[in-house]
Amino acid sequence: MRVKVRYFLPCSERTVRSDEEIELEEGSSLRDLIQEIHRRYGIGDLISSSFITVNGKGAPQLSGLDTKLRPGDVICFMPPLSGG
Amino acid sequence: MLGGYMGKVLRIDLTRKNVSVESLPIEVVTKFLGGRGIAALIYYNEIGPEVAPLSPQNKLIFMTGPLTGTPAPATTKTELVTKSPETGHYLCSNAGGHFGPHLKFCGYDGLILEGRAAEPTYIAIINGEVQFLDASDLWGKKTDEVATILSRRHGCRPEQVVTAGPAGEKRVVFACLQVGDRSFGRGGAGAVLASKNVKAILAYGSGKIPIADPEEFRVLAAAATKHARESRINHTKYGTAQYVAPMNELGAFPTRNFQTAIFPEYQKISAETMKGEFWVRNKGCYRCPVACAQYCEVRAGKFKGAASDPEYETIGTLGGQCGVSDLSAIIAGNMLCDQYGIDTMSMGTLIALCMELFEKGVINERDTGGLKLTFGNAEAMVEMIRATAERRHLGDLIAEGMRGLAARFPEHADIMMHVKWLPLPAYDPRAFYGNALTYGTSSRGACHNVGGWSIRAELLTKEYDRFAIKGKGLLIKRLQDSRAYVDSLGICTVVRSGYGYGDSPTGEVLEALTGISLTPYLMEIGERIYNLERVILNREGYFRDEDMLPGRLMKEPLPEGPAKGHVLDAEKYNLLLDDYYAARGWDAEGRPTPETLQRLGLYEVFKE
Repeated sequence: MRVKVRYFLPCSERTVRSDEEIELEEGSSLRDLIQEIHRRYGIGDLISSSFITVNGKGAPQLSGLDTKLRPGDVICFMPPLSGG
Repeated sequence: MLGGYMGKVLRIDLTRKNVSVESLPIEVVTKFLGGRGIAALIYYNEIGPEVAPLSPQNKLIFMTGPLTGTPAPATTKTELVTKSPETGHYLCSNAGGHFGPHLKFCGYDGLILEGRAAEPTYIAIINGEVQFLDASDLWGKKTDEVATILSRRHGCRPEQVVTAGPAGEKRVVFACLQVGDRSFGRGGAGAVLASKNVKAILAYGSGKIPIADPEEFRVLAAAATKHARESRINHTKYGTAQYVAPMNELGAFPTRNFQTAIFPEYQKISAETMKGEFWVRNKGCYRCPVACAQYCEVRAGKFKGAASDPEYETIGTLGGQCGVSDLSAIIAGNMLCDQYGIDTMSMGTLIALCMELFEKGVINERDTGGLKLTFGNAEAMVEMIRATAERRHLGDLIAEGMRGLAARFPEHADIMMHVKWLPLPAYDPRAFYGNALTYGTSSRGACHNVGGWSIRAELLTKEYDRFAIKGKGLLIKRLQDSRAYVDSLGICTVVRSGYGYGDSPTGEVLEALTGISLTPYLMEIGERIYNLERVILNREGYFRDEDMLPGRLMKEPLPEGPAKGHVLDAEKYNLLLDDYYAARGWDAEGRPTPETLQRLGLYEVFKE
C-alpha cells in the first residue's frame, strides 16, 4: 500500500523534500513507516521529537506508534508546537 | 522584602509632576506574585468602569515579576495593564526587551503612570531618579528614531526605551508601544501613552536584585538555560514562522478574513522561504539563550530595503488573512507597523475585513484613496498601514478599530472577526474547538496567549480531540491559569518548560530566588488572577453574551481541509461555554460565584 508523507521543519531540511509517497506492506504501522523513513534519511532523532499526525489527528490520540496505516493515509511530521 | 523583589512601586503623576514611591506589601506578592497579577490588582483598585481610556484618569501600570532582570534565562518580561482604547475594557500586555530589568535595577518592581503632562514629555528613570524631559523634538518621530536618539542621549540601549510612535500620537486605537524591536503589541497602549503627552519612558539602573540563595539559584538557572537552548532549538533556527506550514496543513490558518483556513500559497510565506531568501540574523531579548526573532531584509523588488522580524501572528494576519503571498511585503508591513507603533495583528485582521468589504462593494476606491483593496494585493496592504497610521481616507476609519467599523457598517457585523472588540489571532477555532473558548473567554478579548493556547493539547491528548466538546472547559481553564502565573513571573513563555512552569509547576527556582515556597501555589495564584480579571470584566459590563464568537465562526462551516464542515454553532458553543463556566466555578452568565471568590481569597482583597 502507498501512504502520503509530509515533512515539515526541521525534518524537511534533512529530507530535502516536503512530501512523498512511500510504499509499505499491508498492515504496516506508524512504527514501520518511521523505520523506513529513518532508513532513507537517517532522521530518527528529529522524528522522536516531532508532532506526528495521521489524517489530521495526533498520533497519541490514535494508537501511537502502533497505529495501523491504511492506503492513502496522510502522515505529517511537524515541529513540536507550543503557541506564541 | 523577599528575594527577587525590590519592594517598591514608583508612581508618577504627570499632571502634578509629582513622584512618589509606595511599598509592595508581602501579602500582595504571595497572593498575586508580580507582573500581570499585581498590575491587575492595581487596575481593580484604581481604574473604574467610568474611566475613559484616553483620559488623564486612565493609568499605565508597568509591573515586573520576581524573575525579571535576574541572572536566569529570558528574564525579560514586563507586564503592562491599562484600559484599552481599542476594546474599551481591561487590557494586559507584555513585552520583552531591557526596560523591565532596568526598572528593577533602578530599585522598582513597577511603575504607575497617571494624569497628563502639560507639554510633550519623556520620562527618564536613571538609577531611581525620575526626570521629566522635553519631548518636543521627538514628537512625530518614528519609534526606531526615538529609541536611537534617546539611547545615544542617555548612553543606554534602544531596548531600554519604551516609546509610542506617530500612530499613538494620532490616537490609532490599536497603536502599540515599542521596546526596541519588541512590542507591548495589543490593545492600544501606544495611544494611551501619547494621550498623556508622553512620547517615551526609559529606565537605566545599576542596582542589584536580591537573591535569597545565590548559589542554588545560579545552579538552577544554568540548568534552565541549558534546557531552553536545547529544547527550543527550532525556535532559534526558524522562529515562530515555523508554524505557518503546520497550521495550514491542519486546516487552521485563517485566510481571507476567515473565509477559509487553507492558504494555497502558504509556502511563499513560510519559515523555509523566510530562512532561504530573507533571513539575516537572529535577535534576542534580555538574557535569552533562544533568540527566536528572525531579522530579515528585503534585498530586491518593490519593497527593497525593508527590514524587520515578523512573527507567526504577523505573517498570518498581514499574509494569509489578507491573501498576501509576498513575504517581502509582509516584512515591509511589519517594519512600518513597528516604526509607526501599530499592532500588526489588529492591523492585518482589520485590513482583511476591509478587503472583504471592498470585494463586496460596500466600500470602493473613493473610500480607499484609489487603492484596489482586494485580497492578495500586497502593495495595497502595505499602503493601508501607512494610511491608517496617518489617518488618511479609509485609514481614518480603520484607526478606530473594530468598534469604528462596526458602528459604520453594522449590517456586516458577522464578518467582523473579534471577541470583545479585539481582532482575532491567526488560528481558526473551527479547526480546534478548545481554541474557541480561548478566544471567547480570554481576559483581554480574543487572544491565543492570555486565553490559553490549546492546539498542542488538542493534538497530543486523547481526551482532548480537536472536535470534542466535553472536557475542553477544564483544559482551557488550566492553560489560562498557568499562563496567568507565567505572565506574573517576568519570564518569556518560550522558556517556561526549562523552569518547570507548566500546568503542574515543579522546580525550586522561585524558592532559591525568594526564600519562600511559592511553586506549589502557582496554579492557585494563576486562578486567582484570572478570576480577578473576570470580576473586572464583569464590572465593565462583559458577561456571557460578550463571550460569544464572531457570527462567521458560528454560522459558516469551513469549506475545505481537515476541518471541512466544522462550525461552532450556537448549540455547540454554548455547550463549550457551559463546560468552561462549570470548570471555573462561574455562574451561567459568566460571573465567578461567591464560593469561587471565597475559595480564592478574593473577598479579602475586595474589602480592602
